[in-house]
Amino acid sequence: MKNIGVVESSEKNIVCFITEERIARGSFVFYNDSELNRKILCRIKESETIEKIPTEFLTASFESREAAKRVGFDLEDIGKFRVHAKIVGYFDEELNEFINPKVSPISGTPVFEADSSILSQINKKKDGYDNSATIGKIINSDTKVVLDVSDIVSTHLSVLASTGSGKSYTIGVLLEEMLKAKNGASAVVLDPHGEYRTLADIMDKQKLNETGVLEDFTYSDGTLPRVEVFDDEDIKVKVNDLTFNELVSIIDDGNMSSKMRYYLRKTYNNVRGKEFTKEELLDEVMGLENEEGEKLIKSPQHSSSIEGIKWRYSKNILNKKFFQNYTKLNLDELYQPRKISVLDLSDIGELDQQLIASVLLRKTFKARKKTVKNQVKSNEQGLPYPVFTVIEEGHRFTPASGEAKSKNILKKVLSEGRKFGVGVCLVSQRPSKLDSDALSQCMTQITMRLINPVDQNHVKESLESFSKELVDMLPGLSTGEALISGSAINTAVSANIREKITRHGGAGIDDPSSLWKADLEDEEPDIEKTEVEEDNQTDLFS
Amino acid sequence: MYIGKINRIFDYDKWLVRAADKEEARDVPIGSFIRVNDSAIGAIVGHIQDVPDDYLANEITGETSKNIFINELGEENAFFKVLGIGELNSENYKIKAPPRLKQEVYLLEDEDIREFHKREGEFSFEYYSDIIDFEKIEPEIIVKILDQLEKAFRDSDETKKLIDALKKHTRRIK
Ligand SMILES: Nc1ncnc2c1ncn2[C@@H]1O[C@H](COP(=O)(O)OP(=O)(O)OP(=O)(O)O)[C@@H](O)[C@H]1O
Ligand SMILES: [Mg+2]
Repeated sequence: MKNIGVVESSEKNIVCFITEERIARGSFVFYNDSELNRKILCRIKESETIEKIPTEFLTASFESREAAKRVGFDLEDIGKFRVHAKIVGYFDEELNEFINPKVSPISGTPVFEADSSILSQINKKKDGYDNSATIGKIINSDTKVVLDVSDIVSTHLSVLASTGSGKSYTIGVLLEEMLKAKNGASAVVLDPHGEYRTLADIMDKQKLNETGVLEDFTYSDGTLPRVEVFDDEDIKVKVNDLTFNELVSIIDDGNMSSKMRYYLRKTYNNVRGKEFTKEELLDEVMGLENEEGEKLIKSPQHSSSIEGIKWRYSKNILNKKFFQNYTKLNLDELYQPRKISVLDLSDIGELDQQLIASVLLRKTFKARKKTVKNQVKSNEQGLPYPVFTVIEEGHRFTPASGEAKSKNILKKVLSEGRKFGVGVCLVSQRPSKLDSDALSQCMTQITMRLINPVDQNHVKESLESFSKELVDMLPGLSTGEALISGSAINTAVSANIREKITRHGGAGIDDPSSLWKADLEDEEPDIEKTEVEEDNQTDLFS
Repeated sequence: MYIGKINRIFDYDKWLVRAADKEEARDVPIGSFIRVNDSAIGAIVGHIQDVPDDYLANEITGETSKNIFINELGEENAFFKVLGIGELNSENYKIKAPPRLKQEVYLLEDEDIREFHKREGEFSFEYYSDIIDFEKIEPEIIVKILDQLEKAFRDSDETKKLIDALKKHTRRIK
């Protein structure tokens, strides 16, 4: 137990203490409450120097500290800090949560560095246990940060940060944890940038062995996790899976008349609930001509409506490869225990991506709901275990303003999914463009460096647990540092995310000039390179 | 240069020196450093002139000429207020005991000023914070002391820079 300072004063939930240590924002200290006989955990909010060297001495023309000392300034306090820390509370083992002591420490109370025994109370789960995800360490400590996977899967997760701060990397780490033998999760990643394919490294036994983690990933039956990547060749929408509204949204080019809608509805009702192909749907449309024969002859308007549907349907669905009569994306294929399915959407347009998400989420939700309620009929598909779906670029799928084909179902899953074990991870680099209801349903938050004040504000307003104190920490985080808050952890904590085992697929371009000049290499040898080669040669012959 | 004798002790570090020559006394700048015999060092922080009480009383009761110039009467005294700072050849800038009455007081030569303000071969003005913290004298008087120091260290650019910074700092306190 290292004594690092003494309480000067305290007010409301904030303790102010004096220390000579430089303590990082977001790290933890504690004091003993003698009446309660408890250790009270506090999170560092900010720290300031007590005294300063007079401004006139802060000049490059002489060594300021030395000069100030020579003219008699008392430098003792210059190395001291006044630190403000927010009281988190003491951990109540029975309630399993931190309880605020409601009384403040008196001036003179010693303050200690929080050691691992107290820091580990921040975790709801123990490292290595079932349903745990150890994604990093608490900053400035060796204590691991362990998330509760049950919370993440049932009450959703948001991962928000400015671009390049480490969102995808962190999710990679989380997915690795979820695949470990302790969890064996079933998850799907909607991957608009095709950066999650490298997760497949997890199937490389040799690599796992070399990294010393083979055991962590070997299930009791001796098998390893599976990662399957689906790309645009595999990602098709089965016309049979579309709802009427989706069908309309696909074929409506903005000037579909209400008559056309009426006829399309009629057609759709005829096939509803049955298995049908995209050709059969067209047949149904043509069938209308016979059905309504007489009316059509009398009124050319009606007949042109049907022609209109036929034309639009052929153009937008029938003749598009994206719409098929089969799909590889069956739930029992995508969602399997101990498997992650990566849908590489990088070659698919944004609207079609939304459609995929919509169809997938709807089917998943329905299947889980029926399974949980024991209503799966013999000809239907159930989904007998909870599933987790990562949605990158979340603002495209549930935007704050404007529509997206996936918005309704995604919001439904977010608000009701917990009952049925349909967990969603919403990822975004522009939180302010993300629907705030959707965001507020993500009960666990991993928030990384976030610079834009509009985004910071949106986060603060959408998430009630997100105090100003936490928001203030966001711009100061470095890449790979995250603020984790919400239900999967006992109190908000800053963490350094651990290194990934699999390669990271989302890296930017490091060395553009070498790529631009790649074709010059033969004609104009790089001087440095030749030298290296010469060195090698001398090495060889000496 | 001899300037007078200790005339009164107000406190361990506050002394009054009666000027030997009241005319010359006018030319001794405020802020000048003095020594008492060969030990205590101080700085002149004030200048007093007065007329002996009984003499003044006569004048006042005479009622006719209230605006008599003290100088013209040839009966005034001149005094220096001195702030004790330290002792020659001592480790720190402290007054152990006040000087005795009637002890002789001399202006400190530049060389001695420099010597007094050296610690481990470097310029030192360590007693500055004591003066400020305990508000012993007004900042404007401190600036005058610094003027004298500057004069004594006119050949050392580095020290002059430091003194200059200190002057600016002192002005800001005001
Ligand atoms: N925990 C970490 N440890 C080491 N490096 C990291 C870590 N997190 C992120 N990085 C590095 O930062 C880079 C950017 O991370 P990442 O691709 O996850 O950012 P992002 O937030 O997903 O960005 P974008 O919004 O552009 O998708 C990565 O290439 C990786 O090298
Ligand atoms: Mg990313």
